[in-house]
Amino acid sequence: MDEIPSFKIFTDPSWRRIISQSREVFNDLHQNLEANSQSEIIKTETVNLSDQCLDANQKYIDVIENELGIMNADNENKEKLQVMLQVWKLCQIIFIKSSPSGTLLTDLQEWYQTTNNIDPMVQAIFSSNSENTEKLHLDDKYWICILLAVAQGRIDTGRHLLSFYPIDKAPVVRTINELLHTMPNLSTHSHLSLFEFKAKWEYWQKKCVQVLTSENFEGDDNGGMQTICKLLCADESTFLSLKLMFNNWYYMLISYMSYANPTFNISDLHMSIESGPFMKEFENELDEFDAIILKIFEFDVDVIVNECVKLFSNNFFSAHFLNILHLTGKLQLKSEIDFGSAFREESRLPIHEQHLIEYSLQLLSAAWSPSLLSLNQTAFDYLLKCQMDETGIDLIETYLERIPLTEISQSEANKIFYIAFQYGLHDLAFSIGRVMQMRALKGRQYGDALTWNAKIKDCSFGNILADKIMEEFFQSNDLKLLDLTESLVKEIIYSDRLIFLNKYREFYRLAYLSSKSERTENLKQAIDLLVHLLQVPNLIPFKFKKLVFFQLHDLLDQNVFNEDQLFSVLKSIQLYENRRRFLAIRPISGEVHECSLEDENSEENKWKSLFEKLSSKIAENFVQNKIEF
Amino acid sequence: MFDNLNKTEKIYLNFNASKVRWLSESKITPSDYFCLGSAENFKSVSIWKQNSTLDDFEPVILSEYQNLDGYVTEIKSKSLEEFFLSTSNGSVYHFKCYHDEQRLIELNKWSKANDVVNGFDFNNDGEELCFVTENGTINFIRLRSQINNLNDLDYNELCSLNSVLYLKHFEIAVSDSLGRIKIWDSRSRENKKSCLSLFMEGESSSITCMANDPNKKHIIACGNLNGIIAIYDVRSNKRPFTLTHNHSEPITEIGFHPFSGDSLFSSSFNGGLWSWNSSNRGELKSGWEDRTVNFKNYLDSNRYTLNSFDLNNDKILAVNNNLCLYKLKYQNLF
Repeated sequence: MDEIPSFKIFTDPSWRRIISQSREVFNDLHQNLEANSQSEIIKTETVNLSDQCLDANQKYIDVIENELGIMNADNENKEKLQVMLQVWKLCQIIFIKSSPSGTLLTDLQEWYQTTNNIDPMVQAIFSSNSENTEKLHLDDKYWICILLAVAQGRIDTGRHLLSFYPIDKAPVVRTINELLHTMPNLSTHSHLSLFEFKAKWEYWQKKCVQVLTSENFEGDDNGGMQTICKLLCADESTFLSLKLMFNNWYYMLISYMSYANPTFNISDLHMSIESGPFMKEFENELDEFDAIILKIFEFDVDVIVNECVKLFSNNFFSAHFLNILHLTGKLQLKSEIDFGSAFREESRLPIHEQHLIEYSLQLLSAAWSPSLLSLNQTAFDYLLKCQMDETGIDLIETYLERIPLTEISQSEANKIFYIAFQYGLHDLAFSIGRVMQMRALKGRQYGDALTWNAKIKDCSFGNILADKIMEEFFQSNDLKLLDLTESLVKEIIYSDRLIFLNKYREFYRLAYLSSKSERTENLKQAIDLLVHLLQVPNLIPFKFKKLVFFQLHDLLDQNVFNEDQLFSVLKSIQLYENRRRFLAIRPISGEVHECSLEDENSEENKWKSLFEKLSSKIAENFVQNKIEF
Repeated sequence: MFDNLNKTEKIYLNFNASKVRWLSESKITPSDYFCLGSAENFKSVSIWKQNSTLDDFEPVILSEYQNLDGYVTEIKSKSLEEFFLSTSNGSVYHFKCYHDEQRLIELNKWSKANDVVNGFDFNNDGEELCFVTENGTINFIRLRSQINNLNDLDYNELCSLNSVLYLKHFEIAVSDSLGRIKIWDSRSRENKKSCLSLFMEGESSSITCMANDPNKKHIIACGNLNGIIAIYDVRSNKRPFTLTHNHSEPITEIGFHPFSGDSLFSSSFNGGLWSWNSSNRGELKSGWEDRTVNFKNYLDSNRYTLNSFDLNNDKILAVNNNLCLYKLKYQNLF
């Protein structure tokens, strides 16, 4: 097995910034497109689409360029990003900007100029010869600079450098300068049709040939003038001889085409690659990168799908670029032609989605440990756009399921819960809630458990929690346990035990915690409440019934019971005893265990005393109300 | 005539910041320094300076401290050069920065093991700092004492406590995850019962942030996980005044306008920075309930969770979850 690549570089600060900014561009693009598609105007839609895609692609390029500008020189990612920038720009020219009949000259020349920038070299010449400009033309790099400038189409730079050559030494300088000055420029002559431009160009090139054959090149030291002239005449052998200067076959090719056939389009480019000698010249030195450039020139989208991924060892470029291609509709061309892919198992998903998924997975693997939720969310944004068979959402769910919840803080857990909820993964959100509520319960944080429980409305756990709280309360008499439900009154209607807990709290407050002035009034209310609670079947959990009765016992002394209540209490006790006998014969596991007071004896006494009191109260009532049997 | 000074500027940081705070004595004193506390697995706090004379927002990082024991959960500045911060690993730090020398020094550190400090506040004299944790404890630190004096209230709430504010010299308001605000007297450590407990019926979502009115300390605004902002008057027990967006995104931070309690700012999960304005010229005494409230989103274009924001004089800084730091000026209200 190959070594699994680590995507830790994604956590590197410069990569983080690139990822975040690209994410914004990606999201903005898709949002705008969705907004557009929902609007009523149909006509402008197609125009807007390709413009927006081109804009977005340019923004991706700008992001990388900006980052490269800020980066330190010794940053290990710098080289790879520069290569990526170069490839991306070329892909933009060939795949997005070009049309079958459109000219590629300006764009490709610009690409050549920016990726093989001669400005530093030019500046070096000027700075080292700043005092003595007369010796400028004797500098080592002088001629190379001029030749490169001419080759790259930077005519002004070339002419500027040429102006430092002493005219009296070689009068041909003036002629060459004149030729350069009158060279037809595709951008300034854009008002002409291609045919007209071609005519102009041929006329001008004839003049160049004339100069080459007839002019006197005396005083031309290294033959530099002649070489320039030959370049202008598009002399193939000259180009080939300058192999070292060009360093790469594609630069040589672009340069040659710009002089041989400036209005070349994509098919011209193909033809000259195939039939021309340029590739052969560099045959022994071709590497993977050259192969990639070749494929791009050949409009082979596969290169992005396969080779670029390998080159950059991640799917950042391929995911974004294939997405743009898909949106502009250029990807369909490929999949229609490629019948083979229909038989391959793994490609049920369209290719751009596959790459989006790959990229997202790489982001997620970079963020796995230590956890970086924001990087995860970035990945989720991309996954959401993979809508075929809901693959994206499924992957998000799978990932979120595996985030460990044991050590994270409440606020982080809330975030994850919220993300799951937002994406419509309600089952997942529910299970997160269950884990958190159980965790809180085990840690005896009953309040947190209640919050989670109220959030997910888990009825069975709610009952268990209520029981636990009541048990604790009866053991510790700690009021804050009861107070936990004070803010939840309206929300816990899904669990009857919690409702009971709440009502019990009300009872307790009324009975024991009211101020002196309100005591009797509140006590009456409290008793009323409690008796009602007793009447509702199964509301009070069996194990607490005994304790509730004992509390009643304490309250009986205060003369606040009326006779209906007394009878009701008797009846409840009867039912309780029935139940107890039943359970003794057929124990039901949840209900058998009762909460008891500590002392068995005192329990016995309490029952006795309870019955005594009840009977005496009932008797008293009879006497007072003179009810006859 | 006032220009619309609502130019929003943004830069990209290298990390996600969980808190941004201006360094200043108070929210009114203008300042050019601010600090950023990191989020997630970064454990750093950094001090920055912005040049207010420049047109563009180009803050410069002055100093950084990278050895915190967890991510930053709260920062509060005491003066231009001193601030406190709390981390997710149960510690509260006291820092001092020397801006000219670009140094940041840790003066003091107090820790509580196995806990997460969710919020803290210190009282006006700077004598006492109170912090609350996820395990439900309320703790006090005597700042002026020689010994590292950390003690807690003898009361362990059974839910996580999210934020704390000093209302008066000895009175603190503590919010928890059950949507309640409890007022405590901080003088006695054996308190078993809070003085007052405030909550909204039917809304028990965890309160995530609290702020008090700059002029009337008894007015508290709090935001919860359901996107509801409630404005309580601590002196009375009546139902609070509620503000709500038309969505239920959790509120991450809340703060009053530095000069007047008539205006409130809130930030939420879906990236908006909302300003709620209830000023009604002429009627001075009425509260929020009696006036109409206008609201406006200052960060329309942002779609990523706004982690935090802070106001100083007339500037707002905000950080979102996609490495961005925003700076805005808000419209002059008077």
